[in-house]
Amino acid sequence: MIREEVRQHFGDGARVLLFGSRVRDETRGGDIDLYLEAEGTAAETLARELKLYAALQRRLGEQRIDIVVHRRDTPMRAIDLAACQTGMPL
Amino acid sequence: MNANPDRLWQILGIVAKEETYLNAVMLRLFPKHGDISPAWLKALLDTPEGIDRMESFVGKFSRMQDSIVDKLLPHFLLAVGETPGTALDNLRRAERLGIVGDPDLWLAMRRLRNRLIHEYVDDLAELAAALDMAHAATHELCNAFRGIKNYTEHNFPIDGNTLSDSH
Repeated sequence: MIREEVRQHFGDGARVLLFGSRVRDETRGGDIDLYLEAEGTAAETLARELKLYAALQRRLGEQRIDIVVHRRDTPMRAIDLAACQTGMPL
Repeated sequence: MNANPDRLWQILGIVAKEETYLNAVMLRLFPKHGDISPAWLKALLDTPEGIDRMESFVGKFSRMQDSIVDKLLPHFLLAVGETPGTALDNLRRAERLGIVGDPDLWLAMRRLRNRLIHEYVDDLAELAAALDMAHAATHELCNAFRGIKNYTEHNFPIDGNTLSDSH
């Protein structure tokens, strides 16, 4: 379901990882932390991220969702590196 | 929770002030001419006054959202004879009543707040894009407030309870 929404808003070319407590904890509960790599300007990726966030919030209910988007033409930040090292592809 | 026009008027009074203060800080913050560009934003954040204005805008933008979603909408729905539910339920009902636009925009606005914290966002292009979107989204906040205010003035007119004096 998450992958489906990511594809709808970011297209087939986006890479998506689940990271944070969902991957780390055996309970698989807690926040949903998503890492995305995508093309586009800052305004384009922000608009897509917000639409994705709203769609996921609508489908998953009042769960805490965090989305980190790395634009491919920008340097990796610490959070991008951490997500790539620990994340699980969706 | 029962319909309570006095409480609805009280909340409207608070949101009216929030709208006034939000509009005032927008006049001080945003450029009179031209775009909200990374270069403009860099110059803004190079000054303590600019940082204060930015933070003041984000605080007021967030507060008005919270007041409308958490307080005003539930009391408005009670006033029209509906039972309030979750924030998303309330937004959907308010959309059907023509008070708010797309509920997804309201969900997105909550997310947008995280993107406006300048200490956390190093990329000025990202921050400028977020600020531009927040600027546009303030129209939706003000429209929702005015829609509920007009409804209340029409349906629950109480002497001394019009907000026109405070504007």
